[in-house]
Amino acid sequence: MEMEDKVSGMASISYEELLPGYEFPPHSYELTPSLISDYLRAVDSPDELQIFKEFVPPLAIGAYAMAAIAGHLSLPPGSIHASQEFEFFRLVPIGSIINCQAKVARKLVRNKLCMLTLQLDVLDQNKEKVQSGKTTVILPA
Amino acid sequence: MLTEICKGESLPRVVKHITQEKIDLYAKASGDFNPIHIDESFARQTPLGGTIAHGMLILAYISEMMTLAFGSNWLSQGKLSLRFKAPARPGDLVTVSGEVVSIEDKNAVSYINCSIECHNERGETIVVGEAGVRITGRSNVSA
Repeated sequence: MEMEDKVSGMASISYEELLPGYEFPPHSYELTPSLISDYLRAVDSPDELQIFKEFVPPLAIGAYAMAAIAGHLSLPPGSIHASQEFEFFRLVPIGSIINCQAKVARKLVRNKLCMLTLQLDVLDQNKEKVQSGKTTVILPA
Repeated sequence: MLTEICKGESLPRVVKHITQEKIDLYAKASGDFNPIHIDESFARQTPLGGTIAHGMLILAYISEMMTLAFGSNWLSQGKLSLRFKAPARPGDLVTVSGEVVSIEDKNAVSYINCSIECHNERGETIVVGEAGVRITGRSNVSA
């Protein structure tokens, strides 16, 4: 996958090293027609949603933003998604280049429970915010 | 799209059959190769007891329902807040449903709030939460 190629080889930070406020390196990527076509096939998107011939599904942007962060973050295998927030601010045409910024919003270690909340912001090439989100992950004890 | 949006209106249901093949396809498309999703031998040894679908795959189905209901308004002015209650596993038949719970009108803009639920064929809740859409030019909205 194109995304994987772009994030591989970068230094990653472990959960233990993360502190609230830590900012991940920003990451840019292009939402190419083939990337979106692969995404639509993977999520079994119905043909009647013609809007995705022109605009990017917002969850695809979120998924690729999270993949970009994952390239910088080393979480133990078995980490699972606990909650998710998203807010979308504008239509994103296929072919757009977007920039993803992320930081650690919260880190919680209590008994055997480890949780990590990341704040995401995605901007277009005009530096207009297109999407923001908050991802909470539970890590295996 | 919904022809008329009013409180109590049900959103168009989305039903998907989860398979390991679909999970693998999503892993490739999204770049999320966490073994809990794609490695059965690894996943079997975890408390989850087997592979599970990506949370973002289930959210994509919820987004599909919201797009069917609200079209481009969802893509440009949507909001989502969800909690994962249980995993979706290969073999599950997942149903995404929602309902308009409130409509607030302010300065010719309607704020549509919806409850969202996703459950499997055994009635177990997989995802629960809420979604909102801001709509301007509200000819098909009645509070």
